[in-house]
Amino acid sequence: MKSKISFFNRTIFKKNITQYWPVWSIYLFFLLIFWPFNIWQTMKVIIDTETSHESLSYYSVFSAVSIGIEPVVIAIAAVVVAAFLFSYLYTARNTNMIHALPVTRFELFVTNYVSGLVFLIGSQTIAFLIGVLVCVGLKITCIQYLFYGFMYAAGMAFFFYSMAVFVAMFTGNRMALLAYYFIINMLYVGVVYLLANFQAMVCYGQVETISPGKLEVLSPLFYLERYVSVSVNHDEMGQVFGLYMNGGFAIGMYAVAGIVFAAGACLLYRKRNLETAGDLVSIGVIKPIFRWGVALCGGFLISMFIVSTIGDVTSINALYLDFMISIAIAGSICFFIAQMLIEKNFRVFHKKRVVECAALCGVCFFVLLLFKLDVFGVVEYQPDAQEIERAFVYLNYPLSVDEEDIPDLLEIQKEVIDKRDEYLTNQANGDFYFTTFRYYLKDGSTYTRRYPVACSPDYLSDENTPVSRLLVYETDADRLKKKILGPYYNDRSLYYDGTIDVYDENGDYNTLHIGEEKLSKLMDAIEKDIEEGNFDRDYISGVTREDVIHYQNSICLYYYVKNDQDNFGEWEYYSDYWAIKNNTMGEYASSPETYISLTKDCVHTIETIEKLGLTDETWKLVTNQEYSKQQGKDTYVE
Amino acid sequence: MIRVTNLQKAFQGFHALNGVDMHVKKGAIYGLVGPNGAGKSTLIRHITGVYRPDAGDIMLEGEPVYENKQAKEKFSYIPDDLFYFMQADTMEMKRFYQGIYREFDERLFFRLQEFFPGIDVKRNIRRLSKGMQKQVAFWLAICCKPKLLILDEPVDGLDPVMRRQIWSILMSEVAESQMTVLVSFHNLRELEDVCDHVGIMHQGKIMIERSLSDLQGSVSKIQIACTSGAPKLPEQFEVLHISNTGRVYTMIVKGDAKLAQEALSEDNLMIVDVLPLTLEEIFIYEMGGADYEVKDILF
Repeated sequence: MKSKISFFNRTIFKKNITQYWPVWSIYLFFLLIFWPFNIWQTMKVIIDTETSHESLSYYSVFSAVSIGIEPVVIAIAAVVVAAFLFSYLYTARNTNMIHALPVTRFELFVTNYVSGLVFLIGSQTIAFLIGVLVCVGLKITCIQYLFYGFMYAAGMAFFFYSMAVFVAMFTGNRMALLAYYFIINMLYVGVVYLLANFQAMVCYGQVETISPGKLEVLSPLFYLERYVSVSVNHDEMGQVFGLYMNGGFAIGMYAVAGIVFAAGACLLYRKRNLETAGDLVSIGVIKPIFRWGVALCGGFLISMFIVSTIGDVTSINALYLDFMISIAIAGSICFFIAQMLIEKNFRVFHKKRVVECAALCGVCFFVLLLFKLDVFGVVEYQPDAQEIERAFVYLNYPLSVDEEDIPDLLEIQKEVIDKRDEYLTNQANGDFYFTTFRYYLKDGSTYTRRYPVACSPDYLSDENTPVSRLLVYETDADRLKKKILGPYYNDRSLYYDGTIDVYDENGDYNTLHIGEEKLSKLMDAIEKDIEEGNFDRDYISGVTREDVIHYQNSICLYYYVKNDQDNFGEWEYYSDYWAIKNNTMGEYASSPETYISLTKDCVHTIETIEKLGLTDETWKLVTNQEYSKQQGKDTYVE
Repeated sequence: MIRVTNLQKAFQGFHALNGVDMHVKKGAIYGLVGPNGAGKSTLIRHITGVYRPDAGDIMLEGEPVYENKQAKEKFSYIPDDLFYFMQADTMEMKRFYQGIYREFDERLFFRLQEFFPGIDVKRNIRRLSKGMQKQVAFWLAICCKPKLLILDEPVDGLDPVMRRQIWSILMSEVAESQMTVLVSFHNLRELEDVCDHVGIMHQGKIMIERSLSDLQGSVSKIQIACTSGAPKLPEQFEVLHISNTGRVYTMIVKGDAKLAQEALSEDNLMIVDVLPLTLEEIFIYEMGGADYEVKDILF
């Protein structure tokens, strides 16, 4: 008699529902609290305020959806469900019993897989439907956002659960499943950051802030956490008119990947050797990958920690030697620990494994050698001036370099690169200042390098050294005015107020509003001081050696910004230029401020402050030393 | 009923099964015997379709077992290490088996309840004693009405009364439904009472597979009292073991006992006597011949 092919076993499904009821009921309870109950609670709490019912409706749905689509929560729920439903693969007696039953592996897989989806998406569906009923009861009309939220959550649950089941097929241990799942979710980004940090240590000029780029999609939890969001839309009058949900397309793509994961998991399950129950790695070909992966990641991570803690980072040769020794030791330890975990045995020092470990060390040394010789051109690489859209250099403060000066800046950087040995030796003496070169390239990428630029008196006295040439940029009056007074210092109409802190003889302070009329005169005085170089020693403090007497008082100027993209100034440097340009960072501060600190050198400013009557017999300008004495401290150290 | 041909299985380079050939006839009670690590449990896990063989075939009534739902419905399996679902009581497990096995006999389940008076069917099985858990396993397995019952160390942990009762139920089921039984066992004395066929396993192979009567007839213990040195047998007889106490020699001989007795009688020895061998003794001597240290076998 030809057998009927069965895909689903109702008895096992029923067993799953009854046996694991705490798992799905906890998730359902969580969803009920954060969806329908949250909507009801939000409406109830703010019901007495003057907020309109429509706005309240949006806020309550926003509150429910924002928690409901939280990727971390869904990812955790998915792996927990998978760990329970496929737990029978992780103990020998359980797996022997289940697989001796007249049920095929395909039937078992489909039944358990569907059970998990019912646990997750079924709970979400119940919470959503009750949420809809609550919305109807409370006369909330924007139910469509609740539906979108449900679809987002269901899509992520499908993907994360499929991925968790796929990962479950690689191991015979429940704890290993949880660990692998989170490692794989973050693996790509983790490796990129590990490499970036490694490069930053061994490659002259490299910084650790390397963006994972578009491939960050390979770290699903990281990616979804960054890009899945919901926000409240306001009109020009500040009224709420809807919700904005982001990340739908990504979830859709991940859901498609979820199908692939599910199919892959089914295939692996049918091929799985059940005697691997309890093993950390249940698929033979994965074992060397696991061993090498643990050894390389662990080895590099530990050696980076060791070298940065006790290594010599001021000499390239010493640095590489330290790395070679520490990678050999740490990598070998991690290698054999991984093997112990695989074999569940401490006796793993077989000849074959020792040879393999030696090969691993050889690979590590080879990689180090490649970096040492700069085979990848990481150290020497500089973009062409034509490729650069925006250039910044940061010695004492971040400044934007004009397009016509970019070739000159590249030349300065080239000299810094060429003098790497000299500068690294100099770094050990302490006469250096870290200088960052950041270029936003026209292809949308960002190039950042940071070097310990020598700035001892010898270097400062020579006008052709990189530090002297960079100081020319920094002490340029226009740039310094932008830095000190703000990017729109030429348009006084944008400056609407200012304050100054003044102190009495007890050290108490008072904040005075300067007012629009006095503000202009004060700004004139500040500009004059800047032009005469009186602010240089304060703002270029990193490379000056003379004593500077600072005032405790500070001046704050308030101004409006123009809606242009050429004057974002420092904010553009500290934030992401591309995000600002593409307006994906949201609105930048529409009313910024700038703080100015004074020194004894700023004679025109001090004179003007006195003339304008901002100080008197009681409220004065006080130096830091005087202030320290007032506070009962004998000495003040700049 | 079961035919295993050249079954091979290796675990990380270790050959657990090294070309097993085995044949269990329908209606037989087949005892699978062997020292620890011989591969008995591994063989059983292949027969139950749990493990995928590296090579070889396992046929159950002419059908391959692995991933074959129809073939698997023909047997019930009681492993050495029992598993029950968390929080499950006997009634829940009964409902589970009822859903899985189409032939499950609910009336038989309640009929057999009188044989297990100590079992509270509403109590979590995991809280029952090991012996009671075994009883529940037997109870459920028999109710599945299998054509083949596969048992791995089945009465281990049961008290003598319950062991006898279990065997009694088993024998009556075999008699009633022509059920075939494959049982892996260490207690050879007990196995001798229930098995009609025996397979002796060693180092991943079935060394001997015979009916119990054939096996017992093929190896004999012969006691000889002689005055002039150790007795000698013609070359066609394989002497597995020889020992002496004074002038009384005890020989374990492979081959026809009567012919051996006749051959020895021709040497004018004083007394030649053939004694029956227990299954345990046969096992020890057969294994001893396969470089197995007899002193290591502790029953």
